[in-house]
Order: sequence, then C-alpha cells, then structure tokens
Amino acid sequence: MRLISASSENLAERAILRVVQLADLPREWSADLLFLVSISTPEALAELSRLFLAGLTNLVLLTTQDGIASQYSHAKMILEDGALDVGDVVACLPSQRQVQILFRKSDIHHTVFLTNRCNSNCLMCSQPPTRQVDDWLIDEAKLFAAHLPISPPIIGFTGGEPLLLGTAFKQILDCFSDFHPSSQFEVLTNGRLFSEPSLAAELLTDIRPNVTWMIPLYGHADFIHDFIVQTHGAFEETIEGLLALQSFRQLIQLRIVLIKPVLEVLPELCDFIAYNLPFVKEVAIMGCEPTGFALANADLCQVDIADWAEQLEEGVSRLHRHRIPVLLMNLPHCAIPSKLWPIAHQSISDWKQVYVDDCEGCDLQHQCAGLFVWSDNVGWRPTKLRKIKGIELS
Amino acid sequence: MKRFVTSLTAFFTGLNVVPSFANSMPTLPASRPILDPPMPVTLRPLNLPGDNLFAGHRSHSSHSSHRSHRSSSGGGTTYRAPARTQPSAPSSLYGSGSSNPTDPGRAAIVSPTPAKPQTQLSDAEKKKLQVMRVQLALTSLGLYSGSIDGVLGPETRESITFFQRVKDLTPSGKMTSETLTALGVMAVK
Repeated sequence: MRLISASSENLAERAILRVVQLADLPREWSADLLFLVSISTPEALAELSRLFLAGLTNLVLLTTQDGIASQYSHAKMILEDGALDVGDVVACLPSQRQVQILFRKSDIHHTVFLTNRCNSNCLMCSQPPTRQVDDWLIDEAKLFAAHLPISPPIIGFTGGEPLLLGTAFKQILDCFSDFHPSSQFEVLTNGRLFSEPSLAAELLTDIRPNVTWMIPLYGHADFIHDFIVQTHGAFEETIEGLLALQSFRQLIQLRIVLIKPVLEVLPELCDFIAYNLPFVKEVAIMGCEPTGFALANADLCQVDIADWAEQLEEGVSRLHRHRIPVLLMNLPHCAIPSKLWPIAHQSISDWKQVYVDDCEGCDLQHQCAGLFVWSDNVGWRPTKLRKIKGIELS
Repeated sequence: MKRFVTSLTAFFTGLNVVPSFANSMPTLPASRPILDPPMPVTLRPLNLPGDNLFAGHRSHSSHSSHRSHRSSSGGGTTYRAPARTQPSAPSSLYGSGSSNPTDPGRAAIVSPTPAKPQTQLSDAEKKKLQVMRVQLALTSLGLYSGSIDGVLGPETRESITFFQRVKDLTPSGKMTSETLTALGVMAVK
C-alpha cells in the first residue's frame, strides 16, 4: 500500500479521485467521477474557481502550496510530501492525513484489492486475513474501474479471497469488462469456493474470455496442502474448483510457493500436476515473500533456495517433460541454477522491488527479479547473494 | 488458541474428517472457444470525422429556446436557426433532469455513484456530456460565464460562435468536429 501525507478538506473518507491537469479537463471530465486538479499558479486557481462556481462541483483542488490552498474554500487536498502523477487514481484518507495511490500509469503491475477476508490461513501468507466485513471494497472497486484513465493491458484482482464476495465478484468483473474491454484480468484466488457447483455456475457461465485464474497448489496429497493452508478439506475443494474451472474452459495458472514443506515434495507435486491437471496454462513456482505470516513461521518458510536447487530443477523438468510451461517468480538469478534463468521472471511489483548493494556490478541485474523491498528489514534473503559475471553453466 | 499448527503430524492427527465429496459436479453447458486477446489500439487524433455525433442540426433542432438566439447571438454571425423544429423530442435532452450537477454551493464531499462507461450512455446523456465539456473549455478560456449545465442555449452558442470566429472557423455556433478539436474537447462517442 502506497501512502503519501496529505491533508484534505471537504472530502469524504475513502473518496476515490483521478488526478488531472486543468488543461486535460475538456477531454476527461465526466459528471460521475471526482477529479483532483493539480494547481500551482494563481491564474490556474482562478480558472478552477470559475469552473467550480459554474457548476463543476466534482473538481477538487490539489496543490503543494499552502498559499494557494488558503485562497480556495471548496474541496481541496494539500500534499505534504511526495508527489502525485497526472493519471493517478487515489483514495483520500482525511482521518489519517494521507492519500493512498491505487493506480499509477507508470507501474507495470496494476491490482485491485477486493477483500481482506480469507477462508484459508496459509503458513506463509503475505497478506494476513482479517475477519471484519469489508463489503465497502466492492463499491470502491467499481468506482476504481470508472476512474482509471486508461485500460492497462493486465489488471490483477487480489485479496484475501475474492470468491468470498460471491456474485458481487461477478459484478465487479463485469464492471471492469465494461470500462476496460481490452484488458486481461488475473484473479488471485484459492479457487476452493468453485467446489460449490451453484457458485461456479453463477460466476463462470457466460464469463468474458479475458480472465486467468491463479490458484495455489502446495501438495500432491491432501494432508500436505491442507497443512500448508492450515485448513482441513482445502485440497479436495481446490481440486474440485480446478476441475470446475476446466469444465468452463477457463485459463488457469497454478501457483507454488517455495517453503520447506513444499520443497520437500516439489518433484512429486509437479508429477501430480502433469498427470492429473495437464490442462493448466502454466505453473508459476515462486519464492516466498518475507512478510506477514511467513515471518511468524520463519522456521518453515525461510529457506536458502540454493540449497534446494536439485529439487527445483527436478520439479521444473518433470513439468517440462509434459509440455507444461513453468515460470519462476520472485527468485533472483543467483539463487537458482543458470539453466533455469530463461524461465525466471521479473515478477515483483515494481514499487516493492529492489536491488541491494550486493547486486552492484552484477551482469544480470537487468533481467533479475531482485528482492522484495522488505527483505533486508527482516534480514531474510532468498539466498546468499552473489554477483554473476560472464557466462555460467550449471 | 494458536493461529497455526506448525507440525504436520499434529495437524494431521487433529483432523476432523469433513466429507467434502458431498458436492457433486454441476451439469455444465457446452464449452466456449477462448478468443484471442484483444490488441491495444493505436495512437489516433483527438477527433476523427465520424466521432462527433452532435455536429449537425440534429443536435439542437428540437430546442425551442434557441429561437431567441438570433437576437442574442450578436451581429455579423452567419448562423441561422434551423427551419424545422421537432417538438416531440424530450426536453430532458437539454439537461434539465434530476442528474443536473449544477449546484455551485455544494462541495464534493461525497463520492458519486459509479459511472457508466461512455459507450453505454444514452444519446441524450452523451450530448449533455459533450455540451458540458464544450462549456468547460469555453469557461477555462474565459469566453463563457454561464453555468456548465449541458444545455446548448443562446449563451453557449454565442460563445461557440465567438470562439469559431477567433479561430477562423465557420462561425456556425455548432459543435463541429473542428471546433471540438480546436477546443481540445474529446467528442463523446
């Protein structure tokens, strides 16, 4: 969550706004949206006042200068540090004197947060769930869809467990499809609720063909998967959910997070996928994000990936043997054998990704996933980092 | 109670057997082919000739108040009121409906309800939005001092005509594509 200090007046808690320049208003203005108009000169302020008084009450002053803000008596936001870009979509948090950036054009990854509730309790969860009802996120997601100034190629939906929203989740997907028909959607869900035939039918019948479902699978036997997600019966539900998705011809990416109990069975898990779930589009094998529950269960989650190179190579080769594409995510090149570099992706969202001092001078930095920005705060790196020079063969 | 059972054996032996085969698979409809992903659109000018739905007479022929326009539009204009009127057209076309956002005293303290995508607006809503954007641009330029209400009334026409004359366009008082582009207004499609 990206936050910037800002005070605001006459703005509702969690009002959603799009940042614009005054000059762009004739192109972008619409009565149903809120616009945060960036102003830095008295002339521009006079123009904004004129527009507001002429009836455009959905314009909000955005400035960094107290002098300008003090001359304006309508809704306004004063940035105290950082900056907002034109085209940003933000949520205003007056009670915390902050503004949250929900969307920024220059980002590579764009996600919509749908709920913080979850029906699993994974050992390495990076986003620990809460129980509170957060239905207001449903309306916020729809407003967000309307405020997006462009249609990004890919929009991710995440939680929590989005399927807990039930049919409201379908409404959200439809809303995004209406506003952004050219975008592809990626939904992070454990898929367990698709084991409920009525919900699967309701959500997946006539769904537009632009969704990829990203479903985690952590074991080839029920007790391993159930243990890792800390929920009895989860494995059966996940498999039923995967089969339901396949019966609706949906695109599926399976996701495997590399923590100790998973690494121990990785080749067997990959065999299980190849023999029983050969319809999946791809399998993403990913490093554990050192935050949230992963810190609480560090003894199970914190591993040196380099120690498990053989397991990793074996798992990948078993999937490849069955022509199932594999992606490696969140793993720096120095943590994995060089023969796996071609399938390693720069997957960490840009705003939470870093390279550290040890990466300085490494030949492969430009194609390396790097580290999560909080890695060093908690003293947890995926392996002992080293610089890679020239060609290495493994 | 602890939030996690961190030993696999302890987790397994604490198992309460829940029959999860209870749900049978649904009867499913025939499969649908997966379409190719849509490609992004290329760069294009602000307004192409076909974009502007409201350039012609249709856009203002039904409003009776513009009859007074001839006297108020200033001398020298070549604009002529359309010969025909269409009294059957709804008057809400000119934005007197309840969704009229003109309320200068009110600050934007409440989030609006989610908008409809532009493509799903009715023609009347599209027209109102386009008129409002034109009024907005004219207000920014200091050429229009009326309220931004989506009503293409005499004052708005007069401003458009003035702008057209300044820009050496045909001073018709209409929202032609050239006028929109010169104003930096995106035609509402």
